[in-house]
Parts: sequence; C-alpha cells; structure tokens
Amino acid sequence: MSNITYLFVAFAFIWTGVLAYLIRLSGLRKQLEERIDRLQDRLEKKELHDG
Amino acid sequence: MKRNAHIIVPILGMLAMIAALAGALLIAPMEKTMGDVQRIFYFHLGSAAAAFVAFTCVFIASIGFIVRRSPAWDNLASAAAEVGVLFTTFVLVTGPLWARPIWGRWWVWDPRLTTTLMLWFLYTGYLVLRQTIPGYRGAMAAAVFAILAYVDVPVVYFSVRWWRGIHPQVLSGGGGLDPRMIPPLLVSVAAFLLLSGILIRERFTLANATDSIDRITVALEDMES
Repeated sequence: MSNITYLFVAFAFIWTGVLAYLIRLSGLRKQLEERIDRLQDRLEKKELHDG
Repeated sequence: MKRNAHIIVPILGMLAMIAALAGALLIAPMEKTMGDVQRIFYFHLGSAAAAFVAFTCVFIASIGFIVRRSPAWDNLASAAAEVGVLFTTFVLVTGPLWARPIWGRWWVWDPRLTTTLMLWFLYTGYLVLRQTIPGYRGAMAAAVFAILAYVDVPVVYFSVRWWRGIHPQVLSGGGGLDPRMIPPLLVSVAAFLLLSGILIRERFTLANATDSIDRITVALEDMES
C-alpha cells in the first residue's frame, strides 16, 4: 500500500465509525418512538375502559 | 436559539469535521520524512483528545452517581463510556495505519500503545458490566469500576514520559511540531471534541427517555393489574 492509501483508509475508518454510531443512535430513537406509540395506545385504551 | 440548538449544533459539528478534514489534507504542510501518511496525526490526536474527555466525563458522572444516587448520572456515565470507546477504537486503528509505513510494523508493545489498548479493554469491560447487571446494583458496580478504570487515563498520557517507548512525545515536548501544523491540529481537536459532545448528549438524552418510558410502563402495568 502507498502512503496515501494508509491515510485514506484511516480517514474512511473514522467516518464509517461515526456513521455507524449515528445509525445506532437513530435505531435506538426509532425503538423509543415505537415504545411511546404503544404506550399511548395502551393509555388511550385504559382511558376508554375507565370511562 | 435554544429551540433550534438540536439542529444548529449537529450542523456545526458536521462543518467542524469538514474543516478538520480540509485542514489536515489541504492546509497542513507535508511532513518531510513521513510524507502524506503523517496527516493521520490530526485525526489520531483529535480522537485521543475526545476519548480522554469522554472518559473524564465517565469519571465525574460516576462520582456524581455515587454521591447523588440519581439514574441520570449513571446514564451520563454510560453514554460517555460508549462514545469514549468509539474514539479509542479510532485511535487504536489509525495508530497502526500510521505505524505500518513508518515503523515497518502494525503494532509494537510500546507503553503508550499498550496502555491505550488497556484503556479500550477497561471501558469495554465497563459497558459489558453495565449491560450484564441491571438496575441500581449494576449502576453502582459500574460507577466504582469506572472510577478505578480512570487511573489508566493519566497513565496513557504520561506513559511516553515515564517509560520512553517508540511513540513520539507530541504535546509534552520533543515532538518537533512544525508551527504551521498547530492551527489545523487545534481545528481538528476542537472538531472531535464537539463531535464527541454531540454524540454523548444524544446518547444521554435517549438513555434518560428510555428510563422515563420504563417507569411509565411499570406504573401502567401496576394500574392494570
């Protein structure tokens, strides 16, 4: 590998790592939003049930 | 301003990272003996600075948890540990990529390299511990572990002075840094610190929100039963 290849592999690794972490965070956010939706449904059902 | 912070801050982070990339590739002078591969240095050191700050945050938050017993401190510690491990991974990968063409080897059991690898194992262990033991007991065990693990951070920093291995001393003298390299280096360090701050904040917010939803779910289940 030439010197410049090592340099770009290093940069690519960092950017890929940051991107992968951002995808993980967005996955966690999505899970959380789904849980909030389910919770809202349950609360609405409970309110209807309790009158 | 505060309302738009969640949009403005990530944009600033992205711009700072682009500025760091431009600084390293276009503005920084080429090092005479190592050539272009030396430009890895700007991101290698930026990642190390971000990891150190993240682990300092873990240390402070762990003390905060032990004193206050509030789950928010535990969430902050684990968020910062996760980001710290990410940036230490960058250090451990970019280092060998720089070392291979310069030292002729991917890895040398040099004090700086070895203590940095230990740091990665310690905080990965912290994250495993935090995941394995749930609840208050796990949070307390992880906080104690994090405080002990932090001892390795100054050891990593001073290892080049104490044991004089092959790794150069950049910040503590003897690095022979060209003055023209300092502005791009500062931009890079600032960009990495900003990026790590954004990631820690985002992870912390998510962890707190998850805790709140857990509490509401338990309360609802109690009401239903």
